[in-house]
Amino acid sequence: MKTYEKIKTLIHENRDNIIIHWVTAVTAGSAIDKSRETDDCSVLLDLIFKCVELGYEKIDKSEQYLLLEKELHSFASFRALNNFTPTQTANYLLELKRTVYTIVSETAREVLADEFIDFNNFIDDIAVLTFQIFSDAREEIIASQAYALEHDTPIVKISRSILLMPLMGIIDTARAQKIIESLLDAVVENQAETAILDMTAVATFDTHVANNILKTIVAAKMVGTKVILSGISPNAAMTIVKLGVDLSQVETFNTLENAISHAHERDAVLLGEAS
Amino acid sequence: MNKIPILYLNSILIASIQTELTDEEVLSFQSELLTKNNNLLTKGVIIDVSTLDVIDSYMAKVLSDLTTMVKLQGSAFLLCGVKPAVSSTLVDMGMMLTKIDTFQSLEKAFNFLTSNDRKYQ
Amino acid sequence: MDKYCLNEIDSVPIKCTQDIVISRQKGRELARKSGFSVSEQTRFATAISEITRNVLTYATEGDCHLFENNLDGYHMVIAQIVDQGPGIDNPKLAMSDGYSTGHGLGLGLPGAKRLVHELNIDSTPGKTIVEIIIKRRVYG
Repeated sequence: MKTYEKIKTLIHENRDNIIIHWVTAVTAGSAIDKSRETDDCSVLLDLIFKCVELGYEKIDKSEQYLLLEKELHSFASFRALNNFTPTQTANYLLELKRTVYTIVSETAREVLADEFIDFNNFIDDIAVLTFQIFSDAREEIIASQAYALEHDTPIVKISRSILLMPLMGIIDTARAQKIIESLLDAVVENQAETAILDMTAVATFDTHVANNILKTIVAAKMVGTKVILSGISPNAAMTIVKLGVDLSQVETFNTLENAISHAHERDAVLLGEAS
Repeated sequence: MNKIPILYLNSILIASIQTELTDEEVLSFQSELLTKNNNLLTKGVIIDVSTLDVIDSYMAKVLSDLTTMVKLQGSAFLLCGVKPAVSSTLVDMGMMLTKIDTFQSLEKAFNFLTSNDRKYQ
Repeated sequence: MDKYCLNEIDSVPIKCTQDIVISRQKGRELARKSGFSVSEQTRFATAISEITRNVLTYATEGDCHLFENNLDGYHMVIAQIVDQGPGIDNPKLAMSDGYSTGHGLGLGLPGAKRLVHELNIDSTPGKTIVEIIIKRRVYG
């Protein structure tokens, strides 16, 4: 069986040296925190060292390899979460290879040629694995962001009887259905008298959007709640008129502040009636 | 045949539709309500539908007709407790019950009628 | 309409207006059991109500069959309302808003179509099938 005594000894003896060079290489030209990287590099190097010590033939499913895999998981996920670029992440382990190669070629070139090839392959394998984890994590983040953007339309409780729903992005038919449903559920649950739809962040305003807003207003009226609009942008106003959409039955306000104060006034009138 | 109790309180008729009605039951309810309203000379009629899971176009037409009929008799007609899913279904079908005054709860509808009374006294 | 292998769950004969109520209650219950949202249950039940009422108005008698099916990653609940009446002359016209030969508001078929994901009509004199489908994506 092949042993890796020489490269093992070399990594062991040069541990601190490798870490310094490695950290310098990965932090070059970027504002990444050096002390954090030093921690990451030392942990990774020690785990890689344990795998090398075991021998590449035996690492499959070994405890050492599982530990390394686990560390790579948290390492790659952290980078995906914190917006590191794919290049930065991919280069990380490749930089280790270069660092070790430099040391090998400077100190023990002729002896280590065959052991280094295996080491090289091993690092390539875990680099591929790391990149896979990184891109999986990225995809997950992107998917969840897209989901949040599409499906979560927050409902803000302004007061006991006033709800605010800021509409955002593109409102297609499926989303409009969700918006109507969640708004109606919320007004009934909270027994709200007034619901404000804020249109400031609506990306495009067309007949579909206008119809869906009219539908929301009528449906809300049928459960006993008044819907008012705020923040219709100049563009939206022009589109509404150009398309010939009739919003004259709908009360609209230029700012959210005015809409809220109108809702409060309405509240006072209704409370006055009831008492 | 299901019969819906019609209650009389403070010059207001209150009926809560709690089971799904067949067309015949709806019609007999409608005529009973109108007769009582005529005899008692009420201020208003409140229909509570908070336990109805389905209002189809037939039921919606009956409610909208009732509004007109009760108003012709000189009373107010209030509807309360339309479920959110029922409301959005009606809108999608194209049944906009905009003629009907709707309230979230029986309490709010009742308060509306009794407070109006005070204003005019 | 027999393009899929359907799994029949229930069937209701439609003879009087009480059967409209039973059909839509069963349809609603099936949609609930199949994991559809409250709003989808309501829409499905309302659509059944509209179409079964048409049966009583135009054909006097019929049946409402309820099915479940899985196809292409979708779980669907299907209602087929069958009658032996004179049939729908012009399904396209019958689907247009406001068109009515009965005494309703002309919202029956076009209204029902807007409530479900699919509405298919297969009509010949002596046999009419109106099929409505709601579907839900199933993952995994």
